[in-house]
Amino acid sequence: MDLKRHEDISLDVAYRAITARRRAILIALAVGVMLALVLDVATGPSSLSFSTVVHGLFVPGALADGPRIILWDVRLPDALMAVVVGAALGLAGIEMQTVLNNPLASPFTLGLSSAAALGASAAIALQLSIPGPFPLTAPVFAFLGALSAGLAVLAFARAYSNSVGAIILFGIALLFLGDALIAVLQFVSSDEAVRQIVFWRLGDLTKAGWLEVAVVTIVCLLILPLSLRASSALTALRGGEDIAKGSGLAVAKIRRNSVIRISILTAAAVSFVGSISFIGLVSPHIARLMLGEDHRFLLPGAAIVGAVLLSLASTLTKSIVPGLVIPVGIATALIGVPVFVVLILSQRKIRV
Amino acid sequence: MMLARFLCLALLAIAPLLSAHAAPVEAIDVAGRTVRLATPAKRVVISSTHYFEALGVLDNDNPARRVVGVAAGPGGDAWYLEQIHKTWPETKSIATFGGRGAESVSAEKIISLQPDLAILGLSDHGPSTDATEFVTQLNKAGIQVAFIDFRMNPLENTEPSILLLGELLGRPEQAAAFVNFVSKRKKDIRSRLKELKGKRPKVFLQAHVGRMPCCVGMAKGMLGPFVTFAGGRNVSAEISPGPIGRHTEEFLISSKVDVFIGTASGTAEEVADGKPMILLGGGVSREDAASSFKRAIDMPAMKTLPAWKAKKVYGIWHTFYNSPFNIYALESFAKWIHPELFADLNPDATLSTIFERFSPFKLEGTYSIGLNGS
Repeated sequence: MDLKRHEDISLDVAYRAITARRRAILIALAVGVMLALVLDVATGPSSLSFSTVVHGLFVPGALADGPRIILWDVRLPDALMAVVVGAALGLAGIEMQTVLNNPLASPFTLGLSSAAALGASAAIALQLSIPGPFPLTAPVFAFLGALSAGLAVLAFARAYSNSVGAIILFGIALLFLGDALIAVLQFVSSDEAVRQIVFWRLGDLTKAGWLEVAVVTIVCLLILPLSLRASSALTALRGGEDIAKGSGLAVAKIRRNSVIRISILTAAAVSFVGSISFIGLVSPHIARLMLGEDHRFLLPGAAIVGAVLLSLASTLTKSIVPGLVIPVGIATALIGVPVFVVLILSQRKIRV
Repeated sequence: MMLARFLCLALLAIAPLLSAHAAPVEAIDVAGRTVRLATPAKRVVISSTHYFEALGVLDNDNPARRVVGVAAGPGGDAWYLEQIHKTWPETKSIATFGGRGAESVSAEKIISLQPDLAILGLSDHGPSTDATEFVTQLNKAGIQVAFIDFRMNPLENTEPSILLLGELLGRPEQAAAFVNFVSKRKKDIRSRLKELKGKRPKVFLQAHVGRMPCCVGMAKGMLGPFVTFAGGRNVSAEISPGPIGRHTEEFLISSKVDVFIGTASGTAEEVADGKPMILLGGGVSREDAASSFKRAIDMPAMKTLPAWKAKKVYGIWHTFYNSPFNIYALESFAKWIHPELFADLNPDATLSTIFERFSPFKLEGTYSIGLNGS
């Protein structure tokens, strides 16, 4: 009896220690985002010194016109966009991997990004528009595209008893379909529409301004609490679908709500910066290595890791040829593809 | 037998009459390929509406009279085409082949149009020299293929392209007259710049102001090299490996350019919709051009530039990037970059003469604009 109590106490102590450690890691990651952001803002083709940048961030009025515009209208919106889009994709990625119980899942690999781009492209090519003070058309149609693809993936997953390989192949099929349909739209569209559509296909941070940053930030801030509310259910889902069902969880509903959240996050990211690959795939894995399976930590962790990764990618693309803009989607793809291959090779259990 | 002899004699009798215009033609195109035609081409297809201007240099009685098909791709001089359609309404029914992009151009459609000659651009939205299968298919159908270029390397290829078309269409004198006119002007700019002592001003040549996000620079392609030829330093070309360079506003601000030139690709509708694009080209009044220009260049970054303070901010008609009339852009650049050296240069007079002598239409419109409306 005494012995059992002793065990309980030590378990409790251990649990507290682990929780404290995970909290510390999250805080460290958050500091990492700040550092990555400052590095990104301090990088650019003009010779603004680091101290000018820091000073200008706090006292914009102290800068001359040129440096002020560079800092506040060029560098800051782009750098913040990298952070919030990275966070949106990281969060979407971890939810996707959890609800499908599939380590290769992400909005990009399962065709949601491509479907979002298709939705936005279709709205432009067919000149659909939603009236209102804000340019809502592209984001809303991007959401509809992502949601359709997400629900299709879910339905397929149910029909094929959640086979990891089969779902990935289905997702890749969706990705190809989305790209092919976008190409068809390009063929039949006006010049101007084609120019806008090309933008969706390769993620580029430079087109976004403050309004876009605000929209994606608000979307992230609204979705994250909803995700966190589902965190215990998501953690249970990781233990296996049968166990989750056995403990009384409405698995189908959890999955559906999650796919809606993923679609909103993906649409917000894709609408304003285009399709960015692999951030949504890689961030959850890095976060899981650091934080374990508890989704209370894993969900914000994946978002923060996504933010750090895209922020670093943004800094990298600005540093390759100073003065030339290299779309950040190229950098994430070049870094992401090898990581993806490593992930596939490490999945010995894949059965198609 | 008698009949055959009679036909032979008849042919011999009229041969001298035919020979002036019907002798076999052999010429080298700008891709370095040999093009042979039994007689100058009477039926041609062109891979872009851009080339009507070039055809008009040779056939200034009707640029479209030999054209049996045209690729329905983007671009081209809308005003010029409109004048053709207005003057010769039957040209509205010229067949189109392909949409946008090389892969959409159908060899079958071209073959069905039975042209003698297909005129393709080295780099436009149609097939390029890489499309060997496409070229082979046309050749097998008895259609010769000639490549011209006013876009990839317009400084080098404009005159050879016109001379080539002159040969292939049986209008060598007209081609030579145009080339003499243009070469003389180029030579003049080159020789005056030899006397240039001071440093070369820094220039940013922004493509599609207001259409593409700031700032796409014409670097090593299109009108980019014109900046260097006209005695300026093209800051985009200095760091970009390709024809265009994509930059942020930060690059524009930090490069502190002495001269800013933006290309005008706005349409009347877009500008009327309030889009910040520059409106220039045929049929555009100076007032409309000036007001669109003022709005398009009203960006915060502009006010930080030495070019703004020196009032050296200009707009140039975008379509000169693929036009045989590009000498106008070159003369304008020279005058803007070195106003003292080229004080007597009159690009508008040059363009006016070009329209007078080498097109069926009179110059009517505004093709460049500056801060003081000139």
